[in-house]
Amino acid sequence: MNLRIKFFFLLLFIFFGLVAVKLFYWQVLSADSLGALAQNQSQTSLTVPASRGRIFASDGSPMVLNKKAYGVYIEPKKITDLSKVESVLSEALNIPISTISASLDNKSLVWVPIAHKVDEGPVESIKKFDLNGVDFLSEQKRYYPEGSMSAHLLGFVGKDANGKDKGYFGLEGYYDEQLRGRDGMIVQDQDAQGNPILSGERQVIPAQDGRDLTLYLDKTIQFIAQTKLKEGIELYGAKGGSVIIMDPNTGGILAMSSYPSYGPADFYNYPTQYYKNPAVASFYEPGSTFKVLVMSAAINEGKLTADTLYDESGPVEIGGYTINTWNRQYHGKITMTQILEYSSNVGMVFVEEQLDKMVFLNYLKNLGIGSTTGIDLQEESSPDLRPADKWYPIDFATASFGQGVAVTPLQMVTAVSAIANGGRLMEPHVVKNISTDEGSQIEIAPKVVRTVFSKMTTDVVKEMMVEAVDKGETKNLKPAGFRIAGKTGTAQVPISGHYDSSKTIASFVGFAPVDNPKFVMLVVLDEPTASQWGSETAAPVFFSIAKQLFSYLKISPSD
Amino acid sequence: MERMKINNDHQSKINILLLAAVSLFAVIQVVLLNKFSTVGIKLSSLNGQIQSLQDDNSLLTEKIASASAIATISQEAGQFGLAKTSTLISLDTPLPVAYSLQSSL
Repeated sequence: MNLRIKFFFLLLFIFFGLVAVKLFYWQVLSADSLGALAQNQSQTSLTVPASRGRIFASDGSPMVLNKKAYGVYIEPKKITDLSKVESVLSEALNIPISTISASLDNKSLVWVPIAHKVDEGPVESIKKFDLNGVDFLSEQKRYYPEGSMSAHLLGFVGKDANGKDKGYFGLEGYYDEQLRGRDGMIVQDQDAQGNPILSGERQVIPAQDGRDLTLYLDKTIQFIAQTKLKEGIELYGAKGGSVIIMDPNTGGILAMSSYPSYGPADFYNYPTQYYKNPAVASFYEPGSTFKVLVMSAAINEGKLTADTLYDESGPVEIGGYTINTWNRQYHGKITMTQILEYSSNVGMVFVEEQLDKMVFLNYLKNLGIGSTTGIDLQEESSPDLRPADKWYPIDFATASFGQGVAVTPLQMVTAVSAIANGGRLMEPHVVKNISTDEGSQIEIAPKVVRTVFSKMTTDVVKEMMVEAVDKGETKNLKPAGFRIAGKTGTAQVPISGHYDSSKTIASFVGFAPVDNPKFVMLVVLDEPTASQWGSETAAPVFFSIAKQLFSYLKISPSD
Repeated sequence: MERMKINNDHQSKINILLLAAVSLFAVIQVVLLNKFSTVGIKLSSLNGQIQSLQDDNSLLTEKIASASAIATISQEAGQFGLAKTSTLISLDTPLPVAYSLQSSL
C-alpha cells in the first residue's frame, strides 16, 4: 500500500514536473517570441507617410505640389474572374495584359503590386467593376501646375533601389534629403475589426513632412524666357538652346530654360539624355562673349584703357597659326572699345598679350572658369581648365576670343554678372528660402565668392559693352532709348580635333539697366541653321526677352 | 483593553474604506473600459473624415494651382483678345494734365 502511494506520488511529481518544465519553456524561454506573436495578433503598426516638400516660385505660387494617387494591388487568392481582372486593369492602367499575367505567374504570392501613383480617374473606373482581389493603397505623387515649364530646374521624383521616392536632377536631386521628410509610425492595440483600442498600448511617432523650398525664380520671367527661347529655336532652326536670367546683385536665378526639354510628371516617356540641364551641365566654347572678360582683366591690371589704340592692320601669326577677324575686314587704328564693337579677334590677341600668362590664367580661375559655380542643382558640372604648363601661345591667343576654352552657360553668365555688379563673383542660387515642418524659415543669404574686378574697371567695361550694342551688329535690334550692355558670340563647334565651320553655337550675353542692373541674361542657341551668327539669332532672342522684361520689371530708359 | 478596542475600530474603518475604494476603482474601470471600447470605432471614423477632408483640400489646391498657372492665364488672356504690346513706351516725365489747377478753382 505504502509503495503504491509512493508510486502514485512519484507519478504526480513527474507529471507536475513536466508541466513546470513546459511552463518554464513557455513563460521564460519562449516569453519573448510568444509575446511578439501575441502582439502581432493584437497590435497593428501603421506607417504615416511624410509628405514631400513643395516648391514655390518667388511670389509664392506653386511650382511643385503633391496630389493624391493610388497604388494598385492584386491579391491572387481572392480573384474570382482572372480574365476580367486582367482586361479591366489593362484598359484602365494602359498596361499590356501580358505584363499583368506575367506578374501573377508566381502562385505563392499573396500581394502583387501592379501599378504605383495612379491618378484618381483610372482608379474610379476600376472600382466601378467591383472586382474581387483588386485593392488600392493611398499614395502621393508630384503635381506640376505649370506643366513642363522649368522641368530642368526642378528635376523629377523617381524610385530608389528600395522602391522609395527619390529626387533626381535639378532641385529634386540636390535637395532630396530636405524634401523627402521622415515617415512616422503608429503602434496600437486593435480589436477584431481592426479598430484601435484606446485603453491598450499606443505609441505615436509623428511624420515629419519634407521642407518647402521658395525660389528666386520669377514665374513670369521664366514663362517669357521659355516662350521666346522656343520661338527662337523654331525660327532659326537651332538644335536646342538655353536662356539664363540672373539677378547680378544676389546671384539668384530669375529664370533658366533649355530645349529640348521633358515633362517631369512623365519623365520616363522621354530620352534620358534630356534629363540633364544643359544650362549647368553642357559645355561650349563661348566665342566672342568671352572677350568682355579678357578685356576686363587687362583693364583691371592697368595695362589698357578704353581709349588705348591698336593698329588692326591684318591677320596675326602665332606659333604657325594665322588668326583673322571674323569677317576678314581690318579697320586700321581702333580703340579698345572698338575692338569689342567690331568683335575683333586680332584686337583681342593684342589685349591678351598685354597680360602676363599666369595673370591671365588667374583671372580665368577667379572668374570661376574650370570649376563648378556651386549652384544648388544636382547635375552641375564643369569642363577642366588645362594645367598652366599645357598652355601654348596659340592657346592664350584663341582663349582671348573665347575659342579653345570651354564653359557652361551658367559659368558664363556668372562671370559676366561680376562685371554687372561692380566686380563681385556671386555664387548662383535657385533656392532663396527653406521652410521647415515646424514653421521656421532658413534664409539662404547671397554669397560673394570673391571680388575679381574693381568698380572703376567694371564702370569702364560696362560703357564699352553699351557701345558694342549701340554701334555693333545688334544696333538695330536694341529698343530705342535703353542703355543695354551686351556682347554677341559665335563659336565654331569642335569635332574630332578640328572646328566644323558649318556648325556654330550662337550666343548673346548682356545686362540692363547698365547703371543698376536688374538682370543679366545669356541666350545660347545650338547650331542655328537660319544663320550661323549670334548677332542674327541669339541677339534677337535676347532683345525680344529684354523688351518684355523692361515692361515687367518697370525699367525705363532713364534707369 | 480599551486601547485594543479603539485600534480594532480603526482597522475595520480602514478595511471598509479600502474595500470601498477598490469597489469604486473597479466600477470606474468597468465604466471607462466600456466607454473606450467603442471610442476606437469613433477614432477610426474621425481619422477617415480627416483623410477625406485632406483629400478634398488637396484636390482644391490642385484646381486653384492649375487655374492660376501662368500658361493657363496666358491662354485665357489670348482668348479674351488681350495681346502683348509690341512697342515699349516709357513716360520719363508726367504727361501734361488737361486742365489748369488755377482755372479749376
